[in-house]
Amino acid sequence: MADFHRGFDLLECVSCGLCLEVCPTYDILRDEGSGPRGRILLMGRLASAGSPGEWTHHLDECVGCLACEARCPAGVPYSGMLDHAHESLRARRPERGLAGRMERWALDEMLSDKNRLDRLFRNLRYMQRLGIFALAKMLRLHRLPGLDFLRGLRWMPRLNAPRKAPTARPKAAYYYFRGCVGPHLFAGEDQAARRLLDRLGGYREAKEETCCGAIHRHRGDLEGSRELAKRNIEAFAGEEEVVTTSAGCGAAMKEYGNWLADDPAWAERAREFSQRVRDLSEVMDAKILSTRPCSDPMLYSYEDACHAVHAQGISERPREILDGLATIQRVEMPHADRCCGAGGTWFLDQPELSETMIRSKVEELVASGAEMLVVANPGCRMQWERVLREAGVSAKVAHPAEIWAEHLD
Amino acid sequence: MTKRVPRQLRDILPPEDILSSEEDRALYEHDSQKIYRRLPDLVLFPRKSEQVAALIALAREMSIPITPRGAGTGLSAGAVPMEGGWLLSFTRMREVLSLDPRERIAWVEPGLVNRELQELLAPHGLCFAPDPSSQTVATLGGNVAENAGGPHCLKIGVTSQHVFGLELVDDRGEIHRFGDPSLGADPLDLPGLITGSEGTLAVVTAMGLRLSPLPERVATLLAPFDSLESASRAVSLILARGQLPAALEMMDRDAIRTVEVSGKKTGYPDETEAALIVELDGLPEEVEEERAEASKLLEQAGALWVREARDEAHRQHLWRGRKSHFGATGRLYRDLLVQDICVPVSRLAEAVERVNACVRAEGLHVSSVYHAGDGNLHPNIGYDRGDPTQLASLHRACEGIMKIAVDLGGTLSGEHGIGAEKSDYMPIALSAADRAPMLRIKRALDPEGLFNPRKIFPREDEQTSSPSRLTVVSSPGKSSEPVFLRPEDAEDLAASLRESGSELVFATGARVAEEIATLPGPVGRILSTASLTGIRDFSLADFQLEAEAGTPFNAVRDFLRESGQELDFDVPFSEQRSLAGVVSADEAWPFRRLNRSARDRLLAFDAVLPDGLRFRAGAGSVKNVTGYDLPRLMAGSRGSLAVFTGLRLRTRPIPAFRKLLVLDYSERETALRAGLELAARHDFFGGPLLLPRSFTLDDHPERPRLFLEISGRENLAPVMREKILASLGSAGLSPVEVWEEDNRGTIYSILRDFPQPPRSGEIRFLREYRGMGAALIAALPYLGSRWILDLASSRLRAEEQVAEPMQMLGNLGGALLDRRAKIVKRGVEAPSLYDTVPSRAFLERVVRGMDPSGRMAPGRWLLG
Ligand SMILES: Cc1cc2nc3c(=O)[nH]c(=O)nc-3n(C[C@H](O)[C@H](O)[C@H](O)COP(=O)(O)OP(=O)(O)OC[C@H]3O[C@@H](n4cnc5c(N)ncnc54)[C@H](O)[C@@H]3O)c2cc1C
Ligand code: SF4
Ligand code: SF4
Repeated sequence: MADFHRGFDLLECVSCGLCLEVCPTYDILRDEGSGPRGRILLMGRLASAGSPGEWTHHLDECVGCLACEARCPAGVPYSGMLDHAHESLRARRPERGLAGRMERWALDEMLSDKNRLDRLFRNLRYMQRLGIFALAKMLRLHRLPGLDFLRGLRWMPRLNAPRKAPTARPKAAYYYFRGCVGPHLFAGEDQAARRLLDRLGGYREAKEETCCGAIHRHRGDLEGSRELAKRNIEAFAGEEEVVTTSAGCGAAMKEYGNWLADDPAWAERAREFSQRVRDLSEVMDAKILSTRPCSDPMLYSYEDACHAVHAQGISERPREILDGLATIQRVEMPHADRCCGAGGTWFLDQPELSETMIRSKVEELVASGAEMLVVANPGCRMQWERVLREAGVSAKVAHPAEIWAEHLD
Repeated sequence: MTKRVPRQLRDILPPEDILSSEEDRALYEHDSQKIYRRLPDLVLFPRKSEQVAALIALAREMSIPITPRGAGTGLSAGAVPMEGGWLLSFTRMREVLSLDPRERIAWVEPGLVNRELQELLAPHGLCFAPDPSSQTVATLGGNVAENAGGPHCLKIGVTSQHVFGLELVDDRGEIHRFGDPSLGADPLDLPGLITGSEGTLAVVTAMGLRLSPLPERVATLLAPFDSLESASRAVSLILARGQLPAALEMMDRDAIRTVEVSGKKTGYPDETEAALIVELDGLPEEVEEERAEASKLLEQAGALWVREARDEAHRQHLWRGRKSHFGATGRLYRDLLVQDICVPVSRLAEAVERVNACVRAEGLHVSSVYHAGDGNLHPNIGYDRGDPTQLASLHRACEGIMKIAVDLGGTLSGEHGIGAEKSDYMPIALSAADRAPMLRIKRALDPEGLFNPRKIFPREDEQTSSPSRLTVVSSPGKSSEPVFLRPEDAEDLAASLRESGSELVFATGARVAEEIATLPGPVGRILSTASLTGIRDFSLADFQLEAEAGTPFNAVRDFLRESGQELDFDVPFSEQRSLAGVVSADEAWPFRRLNRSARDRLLAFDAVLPDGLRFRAGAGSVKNVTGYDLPRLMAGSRGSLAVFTGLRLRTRPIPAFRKLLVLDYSERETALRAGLELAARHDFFGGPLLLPRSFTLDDHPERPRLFLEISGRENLAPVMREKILASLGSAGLSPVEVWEEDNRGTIYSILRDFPQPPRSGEIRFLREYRGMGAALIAALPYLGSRWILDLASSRLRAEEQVAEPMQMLGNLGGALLDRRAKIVKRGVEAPSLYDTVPSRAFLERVVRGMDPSGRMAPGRWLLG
């Protein structure tokens, strides 16, 4: 069939609408601009239009969960289009005011420098102990003009100092990519990952590790994200697979090949690097876990982080490994693969949509009867912990790594 | 440009439910058939019927066209506002108004997504049968407007067979609600007319849907073939057996490859040119047998292999792949247009070949999927919208495809509708005369052309003048003695109607003497079709028969029996009846079953309008959304719209067995409860019919007896019997005695001997009225010893001495009917859906569309 038509490279939206089924914002708002089919048209308009107008709020409202891309039978590359749309919006609509400067500062100064970030978290930890945040929350400072970014305090979990764990070895099977915020916000997760990797053949760290660039990309700073990608590629030179516990970081690093495809000096290295990136569940081996019987298993539900299920197609494997444990038993939520509304920093811009999304997820969790929610991404975990706390739901939240580490043979 | 929002509009809708900016409106320019585009002036999101009503009243006042829209997945540009105006998006009007899992009915708003309803029903073991491939996103309102089909409509019927009621807003902004889930409840099938009318007659604001039980067992077979011909042969072999699979889908080579690329691999052999998915469902025993049979037939036809879906996940995966085909084809072509012709199944292979040749001759690519069991073809044609020569080729290819469909006895659209995309092809299928009755209905219901302009009808129809509105004739003609005429043929009949002027006309079939004796009012002219007899055509391969209107029903029955076929609806006293007479009355009594009545089996017909215009409606395909569904409207209309001259019906193989299952009870209440339980729980039998044993001179005359009709393939009788008894047992309603009778003679003779009015009365009760069961139970003791309760169509007949309990029931939730099914008294206390005056007015407008002066069948049932 020589004429099997111009190859499979068109990948244009045919407006079939099948992606609307899975879009969390369409589910709530039910208009075309709030779903992928309409947003694709709007992105086309953005590409050709002189100035973005009021209508671009539709693009800001996209949480970037990529459920649409995973669902699209025509293979429309939504995420790539969205990145470019964000870049173009950012260029034409610079953030002003204190919040804008804060964002710049966060992206340029903090996320891009691990040492500064570590220092920042140390200071935040002290402030939390001293009760400064509690005070700010009590005084509702976020209501003051220009201080609305303080809303973010709601999401802040209890900060812990990174704890001791098996140390890195010079000769090891894996590289461990620890991520920017995980070790500070969820120290247990970081520690568990280290213990598991240690058992799986040892791990080493990259001194020059930096932020994966996902947040920059989502905020439209494509150039910044490419710079970070290059730094990581250099930092993680070698043959070892690069393992992360964060679905968001993993998904981003698996895309470096695409981010740098047009840069002749880096394209090949980036592609090679991306092929080495692994989610922890992909290198996890159930054989290292204890399968001691248990008569009274705890019910848990598995939440698919968008950047695991939609971006990396990871969904069954972590469940299978967890299913092997006798102490816990899985109960599914009907929409386990629907976005929780965190979306990196999206929840700060779209608090109402985000809240509607997570609330309906909480209903599903409660209905499932689960006593624990397992999710493999720090952003999602923050969102879940906060809403469960506020809703007075007692279920706890864990990363699969923590559960696996508890069951090490 | 941002459009100005009129002040009155802002009083009706809040700002967040109005889109006026150009960027927002541009997202509503087209549906999934992207070829036609037009920017709406405003996009409005009503959330309540009252808002819709107010919007339409305002639009009418301001002369602004209204185009309803669901999810915009239509494939005929049906939701494109061809003349601008207001686009009413129903996506935010999506409540489930009521759900009664026991009675298996639900009322829902139009914006509810098909999948959302299915998710809600699954825990009750129920589903909504229509499952278009777009069901994950398409709205139920869109499904109803397009009379959507889907892979699983082969066995269980398209949308119109699952809609029993509607709430709609007419062009005057008035809300009407009608319909009852009792089978055959409505003489005139208004939901059937509106379903498939593509938003051109009224705007639907709620829908009463029938729900189906999920099958107990499903088996899905997959079979690749090395040629389209052998796959088509397999389809014919499977259908020829008579038993319908739940689904019978075919994909060609390119379709398979696109679906494989966009999902997980199925692993077809390299030489695969076509693949079939055959799904069987039903009782476990049934499925086992059919699976073996189907596998054998697939192999016989040359399948490369036959495999079964491993488990539910694999099955879901297969269907997801198949249902994503349209989108997946986007990988092949820059632009994509899908066609939807439907042909008699025996012509499928020929159609496939000719369509492919036609498209390729234009230098375009085509990749197809087929609802093969229905003869419904979806060629997906690739083109490039930037290339004017390709656009011209595309239009020629489409026109060619339409001609092929009609040439093979089929039609332009099986399930996607005509919309704006195929309206100019309409003359290929329907002549100006054939379109006339549709146009008249359109003008009767929407004289100002407010609703969805430039859809369905070709441009040339816009010029034709509307029929002159005659005044209603209420007095008889000059003489009080009717003239009796027996036209020789259809033309003769038409001439007679033409010259009848303003006389009241009454058409009748073979049962002339009896008809005349019961004439309800003064009539000028009686037209008998008794001379129009004979079988015109019979196709065993397609299960279709066409005959002259006056052909005696029994002659048709005998003719079909020779080929092992039948019309599978019950017509007990058929000796003096014509085929047209049976269909006009939508006969299927007493053992009526879902989707098995004259109305469900009428595919096409010839008829004459009151002014003598001869037309044909329908087609030789089993699915048809080419204009309004006139067959559904005419079946049951009792001669009040037009006079049949010929009919085409779907036949079925005579089942291996047909028996009565008789259940004896010792007291009425338990028997009634048992009957209600069965009617609610199962679909696989006819009835139940409940009557006291007094008819059979039994020694327990007061005691009741339930009759069910069961039929099907060999060996299934005991399985069905077990099932029925198990259901009753679990409800604590087991009968005292059970047996089977091979012969329905006894029950028919009881019915025949039952006194006619005025010595008896009939009541139709509203099944939807929740108090009905209790009311019936309360009334039972007063019914005396001669009565018949038909629980399938919710009718009670009883002798006159029980007038009082009948009245009581009537008051509670029913309507007293006379023998012509004319409502003589309505219930007042129950929420009778028919009681609203506008509904009646709406009904009248439909009838007046076809018969402007109201002179057909005077006093029959509605307007007398
Ligand atoms: C991938 C894909 C697969 C498909 N598969 C099938 C299939 O298997 N079978 C099938 O039959 N169709 C299929 N279709 C076609 C389409 O999905 C159906 O016609 C569907 O019923 C349209 O629903 P919608 O909500 O998208 O309606 P829309 O496209 O928005 O509107 C369709 C029509 O309905 C009218 N309408 C909508 N709401 C109302 C209302 N409340 N009152 C009056 N009129 C109204 C509109 O005016 C328009 O004429 C498919 C489409 C796609 C894209
Ligand atoms: S993005 Fe893909 S799934 Fe969505 S409408 Fe376009 S082609 Fe269809
Ligand atoms: S990325 Fe998520 S939120 Fe955005 S359009 Fe796609 S499905 Fe919707």
